[in-house]
Formats: sequence, C-alpha cells, structure tokens
Amino acid sequence: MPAKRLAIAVALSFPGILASNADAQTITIRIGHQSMCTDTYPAGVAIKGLHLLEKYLPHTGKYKGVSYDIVWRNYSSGAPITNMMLANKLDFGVMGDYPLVVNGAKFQQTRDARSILFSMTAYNLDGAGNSIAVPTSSPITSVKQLVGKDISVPIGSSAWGMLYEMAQQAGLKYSDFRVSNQTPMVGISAIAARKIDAHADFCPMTEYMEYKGTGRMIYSGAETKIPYLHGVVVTRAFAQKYPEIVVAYAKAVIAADRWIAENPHVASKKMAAWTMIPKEVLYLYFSQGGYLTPDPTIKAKWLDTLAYDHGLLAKYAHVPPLDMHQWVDASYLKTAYQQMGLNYAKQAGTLKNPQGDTHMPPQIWVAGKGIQQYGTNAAMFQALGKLTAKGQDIDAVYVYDAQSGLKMFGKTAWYVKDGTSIDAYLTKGEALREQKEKGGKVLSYTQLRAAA
Amino acid sequence: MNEAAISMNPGARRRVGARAGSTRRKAVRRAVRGRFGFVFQILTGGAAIALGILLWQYVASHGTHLYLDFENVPTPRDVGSALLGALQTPDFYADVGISVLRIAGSFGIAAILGVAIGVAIGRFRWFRWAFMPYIEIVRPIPAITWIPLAILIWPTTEESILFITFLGAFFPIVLNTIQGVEATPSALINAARTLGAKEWNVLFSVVLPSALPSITSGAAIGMGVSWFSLVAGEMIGGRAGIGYYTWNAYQLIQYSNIVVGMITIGLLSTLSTRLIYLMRYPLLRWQRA
Repeated sequence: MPAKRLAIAVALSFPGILASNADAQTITIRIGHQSMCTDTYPAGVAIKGLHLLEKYLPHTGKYKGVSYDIVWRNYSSGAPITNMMLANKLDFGVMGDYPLVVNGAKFQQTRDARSILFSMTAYNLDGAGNSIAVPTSSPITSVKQLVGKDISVPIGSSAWGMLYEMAQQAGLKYSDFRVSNQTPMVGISAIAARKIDAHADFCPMTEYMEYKGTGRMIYSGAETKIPYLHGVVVTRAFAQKYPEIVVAYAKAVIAADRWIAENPHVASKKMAAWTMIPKEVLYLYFSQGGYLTPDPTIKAKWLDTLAYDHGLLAKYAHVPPLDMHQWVDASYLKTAYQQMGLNYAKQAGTLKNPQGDTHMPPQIWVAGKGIQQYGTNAAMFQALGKLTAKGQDIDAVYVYDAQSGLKMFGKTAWYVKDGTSIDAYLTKGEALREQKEKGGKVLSYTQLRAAA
Repeated sequence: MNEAAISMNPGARRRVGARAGSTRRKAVRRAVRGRFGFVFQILTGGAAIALGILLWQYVASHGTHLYLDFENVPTPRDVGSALLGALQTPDFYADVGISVLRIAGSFGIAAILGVAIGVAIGRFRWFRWAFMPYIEIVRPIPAITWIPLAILIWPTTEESILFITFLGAFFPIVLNTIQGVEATPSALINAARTLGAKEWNVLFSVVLPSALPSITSGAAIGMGVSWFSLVAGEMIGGRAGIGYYTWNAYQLIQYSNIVVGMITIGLLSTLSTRLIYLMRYPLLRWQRA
C-alpha cells in the first residue's frame, strides 16, 4: 500500500518537475528578508516596495527574453534565512552582522556550498541600534543594576554580542546576568507584561517599545564602540550562474540607500506602511543625526568588525572557522557602482558617525505637516508649548543626548534645566551626574512640559 | 492507543516476528518461537538499527540528494561528538533536569486532577452533565495553541509552560478514567453493596482497581502528549529545558545539537512512559492473582 501511494506521489509531482524544466525562460530569485529589523530595509522592504530589483534586472545577452519571478520571504531573524539558504530554498539573505558571520561560517563548513557577502545595507559606527530595554515602570536605570537579573536576548543576534561587550566594559561577567534566549516578538510582550527584568535587542525593538510606552532604554550599543552592520549574502551557486543578477541586486541596494538618505521623512512614511513599524520610530534611525547611515560599501573596517564578531561567536557559540577572503566579495558591488557612474572607492573611504555632533537641531514631527527644526532644546520646547496650546497634534519629538549625540525620542529622555538652557540625556543616571557637576534641575519630559 | 498497547506487549511483537519467519526451516522457526525468541528479537532489532545508522552515515557523509536532500544533514558521527560535548557541559544536565522536573510537576497534577475528575464524571451524573461539555469543548484544542494565551494569563512564563504541559497530559487521563470507571461491571458493584460496602468503599475497592488498566493507558498517552507540549512551550517561551536547548541550536544553526536534542527528548519520553507501565504492575497484582 505505501509503495502504491509513493508511486502516486511521484507521478503527481512529475508534471511539476517537467514544467519547471521546460519553462527555462523564467528565472526565480528567492530572497529572505526581515521586516522587523530596520537595518535590513535598504536591501529588503525598500527594494521590494519600490520595485527596484525589477528596475535593474538584466534583459540583454543571455537574459534576452527572460522573465523573472521574484519571491520575497519574510523572517523574524537571520537564522531561519541561513537555514533556508543551506537547504537551497533561498538565493539571497538579508541579515545583521552576527547572523551574517554564522551564515558564512556554516556555508564554509559544507563540502562545496558557499555564501558570498556582496553588499552592506547601513551601519552605525559606534554600535547604536542594539540596546537594552526595561519595563517603563522598572526601577532599573543602569546595567550595573542588572546583575543577577533575567535578561532575554535573541541568541546569535548582534544584540547578544553586545551583551558580552557590555559585560566586559562594565567590569562584569556575562554569567553575572541570567541571560536567556527570546525572540524579539516574545521579548516585546514580556517587557510589556513586566515578565522579564530586561530585554536586549536590535533596532527597532527598544525604540518601538519606547514609542508604545511599554519599555525604556537603559543602555545603547553605542557605548560598545563596535560597529552595528547589516548586509546581503547570496549563495555561490546562484552568483556563479547569474552574476549579472547579483550586480542588479547591488544596484537596487545603492538606489534604496540613496532614496532613504535623500528624503528620510518620506522614506520613513513609506517604509512604515510596508512594515507596520511606526514612521516616528523609523525616522529616529534614518533621519539626519539618526542611528543608521545608509551605505552599501564594504569598508576595510567592517572586515575587522566581522572578524571580531566571529571571534565571539567561535568562543561562545562554537561557530566554525570563517575564511573572510573567500566569503567577502565586493566585486559585484564595485561593478554596480561603476555601471551607475558612481565612485565606489570614495564612498568606501567615508565613515560617518551621526553621534559625533551633539549640536544637531532638535525636531518636532507635527502631525500632518512634517518635520520642524529648532536651534536649541529650549526653543523647541517653547514652540511645542505653542503648538499644543493651539490644539495641534504632535507625532513625535526628537532630541539628542548632550554627551553622546544619540538621537532619542523627546518623551523618553531626561533633561537638566539650568536657567534657560535645557540638555537632554538618555538615562536619568546620566542626567543626575551632569546636574551634580554643572548644577540645574533634573526633569522628565512631562515635568519639563509642565514647567515650560 | 492501540499501537501503544501493542508495542508495549512483547508477546504481540513475538507473534509478528514468528509470522515473518514462517518460510524458514522448522528448526529455526521453533527456536524463534521458543526459548531463544527473545535473543532473536534483540539481534534482529539491533541489526535493523545498525543498518539504519549505517545508511544515515552513508547518505549524510556523501551528501546524497535524491529528492530528499541530505547535503547538510549531520552524520551519526557528528551527532555522537555533539552528544559527547553536551554530556560534558553542566548546562545540558540543567536543561534535562528542568524538563524532567516540569514533566513531573505538571504530569503529577494532571494525574491527580484527571483521575479525580474522571471518577466523579464516571460515577455521578450531575458531575457528568456539568463537566462533560467543558471537556468536550477544550479537549480537541491542541495544547500548543494555548501558548500565547497561557503566557498572557499566568503570572510567570514558567507557570505557562507548566500549564501547557499539564493540558497535554490531563485530557487523555480524564477520558480514559471515565471509560474505565464506566466499564466497571455493575455485578461487582452490586455485590459489594450487598455485602454492606459504602459508596466510599465501592469507589476505592471496586471501581478504581477495575478502572486502573484504562487509567494507566490514559496516563501513558498523556505522558507522550505532555512531552510534546512541554517541548513546544520551551521552544517558544522557555528560558531553560531540553526544548529550549534544541531551539537555541536552531538559532545558531547547530544541526548536530538539534539532533542531540531530538534524541534526548525521545529517550526521556520513552523512559517516562515505561515508568508508568512499570508502576502499573504492583497496582494490578489483583488482576494476576
């Protein structure tokens, strides 16, 4: 009986096999991306939403008359994408630094399957993007208070790597915390329900929680000074068969990055519609002074960063060795730059640190009217008072940490008011330290609004 | 349920083996049927397993790709060394220990509540009328679909995992208890009553012993389902346990460790089910006497 059933199954699947062989004019491109990981957007949702891949796919030479079937699959982390790529069910994968390293190393462990890192998406030089959040009502204000507490984190993510770095820099051991594995979605609900002391994750999780009012950032990955990166990998089998398609993908990433950099306000609104992540949260990352610098080039520094990340993964997660030179290949991206008339070397030589400037103009996103900028926090709060007095709805307020230059939501920041000057800080602890040194009064957003 | 019963009964397996060997010479047939049957059973089973492992080693090490793709499947050797590695880390024992404790706790509660409610439903019709609709509505809902709601309702994640594990064991036990209680021969109950037994005596001396075989079958099934539910709960919401271990291995694409987790879960589930059948023997002495 089972033999008969098997025969039927084979017979049924046969026409499918024949059809796919006969129809050689269609090339299927299977992409794994993450709509819940902001830094992947330039190679994921932005390309998908703007149909950029379709724009650059080749139609000449051996691609003459070819039609393309682009399959986008959405995942909540990098691991399942690597799993699907290893199983030859995906050709491209967009993911963060740590999952990328796992991807490269796992491919190199196989007999002859390999993956190629051919483009980055965006970065933060200091590591902002990863962060640790606690429930809004939690008394915890610094990582030292997390000793002996439960922290959840998606294991194998770059936020997980940040925890090791944070422990080391704070003079603590990773084992001082009770770390457990939790996916972003479960982590967000655990924080909202106050079922965990802290949750470490990549962006947009913490900022999303701050926006929703359920969580509060107590630590930014910017303190680690380890760059926060995302990129795109392709299977070598696909790249060897269709190198021009990889170049087309690289062009799409370049175009998506430029689209975001040129008008972050519009891009945030568009991407919010495609991902369900609020536009105010996305603007925090992609605007001037925001965390994420869109840039596809594979910088020399990134190789050091990825090698460093690999060291941590090898030590703590038994990830196999990774031959960087075999894995990283910028040639597709360089061809894309050249064909678009752009200068790769020049772009690859730039390194931008959005946190470097603590004097960025604070902003108000006025509902329905867009972004307004102000010279100082004091001027911004004055204008905010007038706007709300007129009954104007406010989507978000953005300020910058007076010490690190980190862009933050105005409503979650802490302020030191000294006379007419107002400085913003990420944590209350930081604000109190400043007040001790320079004097003034520590106020929360609501207190400040009431006082103004 | 039937399959479980058959596989648990060595006699049934022996009969199947004898049928398969019926074309062999008479002497062999006699030996297989007779005293040495057990030895032949072990040898055949061992050889079959060894063949399976050899086949696995072959397809995995050659990366066979014949519709099924074994390209990246770990070999038994990989799994063996991953297992040795796991056995040398205290965390692995902690994960196994926590899972076993969770099973012991929630299965224990499920057994006590399940038997109590099952007996009440089987014996008292008011109870039956009131409780049966609940059982019928909730029973078909797979325990793992409760996970999001359980996390929401219970104060800690630990309790929600225990609850899901409990649900897995509870329903098979309740249903089999009801069945066993109802199947108690009324002649026995009447005889006991005639001899002056109170309801309480009838329950403990007649109904429960009579229902015990059915209850233990329910408990055995419940044990299997509760492992299934536990692992699902640990994968989604857990912070420790063997399901959590397996899920972590997946997050880091450690295929060998995933198989170690699978084998461990299978082994624990088998051992705990065996334990139930072992516990049944002293309790069912009256049947053999």
